[in-house]
Amino acid sequence: MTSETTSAGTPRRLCLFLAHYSAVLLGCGATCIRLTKNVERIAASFGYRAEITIMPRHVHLSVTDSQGTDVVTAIESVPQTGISFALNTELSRLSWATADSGLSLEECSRQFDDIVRTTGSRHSRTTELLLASAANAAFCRLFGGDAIAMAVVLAATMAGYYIKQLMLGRHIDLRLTVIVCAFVSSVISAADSLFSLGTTPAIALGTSVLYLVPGIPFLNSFSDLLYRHYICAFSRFVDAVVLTCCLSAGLCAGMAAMNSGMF
Amino acid sequence: MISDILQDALFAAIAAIGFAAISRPPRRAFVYCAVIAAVGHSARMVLMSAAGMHIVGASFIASFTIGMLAVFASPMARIPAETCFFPSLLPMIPGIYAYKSFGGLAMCLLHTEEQRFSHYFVLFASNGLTCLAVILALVLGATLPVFIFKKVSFQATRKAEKP
Amino acid sequence: MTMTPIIIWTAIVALLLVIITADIIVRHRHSRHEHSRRIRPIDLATEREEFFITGDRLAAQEDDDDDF
Repeated sequence: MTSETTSAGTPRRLCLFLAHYSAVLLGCGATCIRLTKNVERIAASFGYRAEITIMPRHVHLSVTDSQGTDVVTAIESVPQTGISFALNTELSRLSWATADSGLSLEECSRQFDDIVRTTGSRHSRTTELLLASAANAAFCRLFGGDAIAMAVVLAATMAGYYIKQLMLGRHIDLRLTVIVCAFVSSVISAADSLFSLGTTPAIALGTSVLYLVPGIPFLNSFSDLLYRHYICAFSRFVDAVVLTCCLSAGLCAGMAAMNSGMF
Repeated sequence: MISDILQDALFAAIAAIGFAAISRPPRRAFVYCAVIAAVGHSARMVLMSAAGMHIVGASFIASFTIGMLAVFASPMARIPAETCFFPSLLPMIPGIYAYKSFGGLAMCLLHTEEQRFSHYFVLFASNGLTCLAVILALVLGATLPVFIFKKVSFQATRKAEKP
Repeated sequence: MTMTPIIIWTAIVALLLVIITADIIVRHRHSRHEHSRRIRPIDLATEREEFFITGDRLAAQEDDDDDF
């Protein structure tokens, strides 16, 4: 949706491009300050000024020419694509390349499309699964779990993470996914206490769901808070709190099913 | 003590690599995240166990260390500073406090008798406040170096030689 | 009473094994026969989030006659 004061030209195309760029950058988990700086840099390289309003699910972008006579505004929805620091890095680099190398809008747009198509899809499910499981097992050790607890947590995380990948691949709501995965992981990790394996069953149960904690949304929300983007900070915080509630719900259900007490 | 620190550093590095993988960083970031997380987490462990510091204060100092390392590592790796330090902070996120606080809240709803309600409410409040304070300390500590060294951190993805 | 958690645990592990095995088989068949339709016996999708595919976005937003 656009409104414009003059006929279509570079400001309009630039505005549309920047709105899309902003939406993708915000969707991949960039902080508001990085988004603002990148957009202003690209606009300045074309001799325009950009003002951006960052809302939780939309970005509003206005591009003004240097005389302040031509203003174009665009609004774009933020895609829910999941966090990708690789995409964040490449899009930041593109903003510098545009500013330093004087790329044309067509070339900038073409490189943007290439980045989204290649970087956005470049990840291995199996590698992610194995690394996340190893990370959670390492976490168990950091909290004082023994080797058996680590092995149980490894198995619980692999199962839970696999189900997470399966459910998110079918576009099932993330909140329901977190509840189910927390339930699955907590039930499997209860094997430690059910079959009297090892000496730290409570630590196994407690750490088995930590891979579901929304760490990056929490960090992003507080980072936005520091830069005074309070609306985005609050929105990201609420997202993180809701996911943590879902995690707790799944864990409580798992503990109730396994007759374990933790609270 | 040294072996405890090294063990803590090793497992923190593994945890950072694994949790970083979930947020899909560039491949070259993994090594930096692992090293920075190892240093930060073991620093927090030393501060809490040897110096007897509170988790919030120890988290702040540890995350400041992480932020400093990330700000100077990011131009070398040509990645944004937050790509370096966000995954490194993940092993220090108080996940257990977070879900215990909501578990406590759920228990408050299930138990209306005053004594039990108070017990679970204290669980909810203390875990919740600690969680919020630790995350704020982590972000504040890691972001301070970014503020201080603005030019370095916001130009990390810039090419070294202008054509 | 103490048997119930073990029964639940066993049932959930068995269900997981079935789901994971079925998914691996379906994905293996899907990768071999790329044009075949993916089988979805249970469709639990509640909300399909929009994902911007760059080509479609440009086509959708170039309409100057819309008067909003």
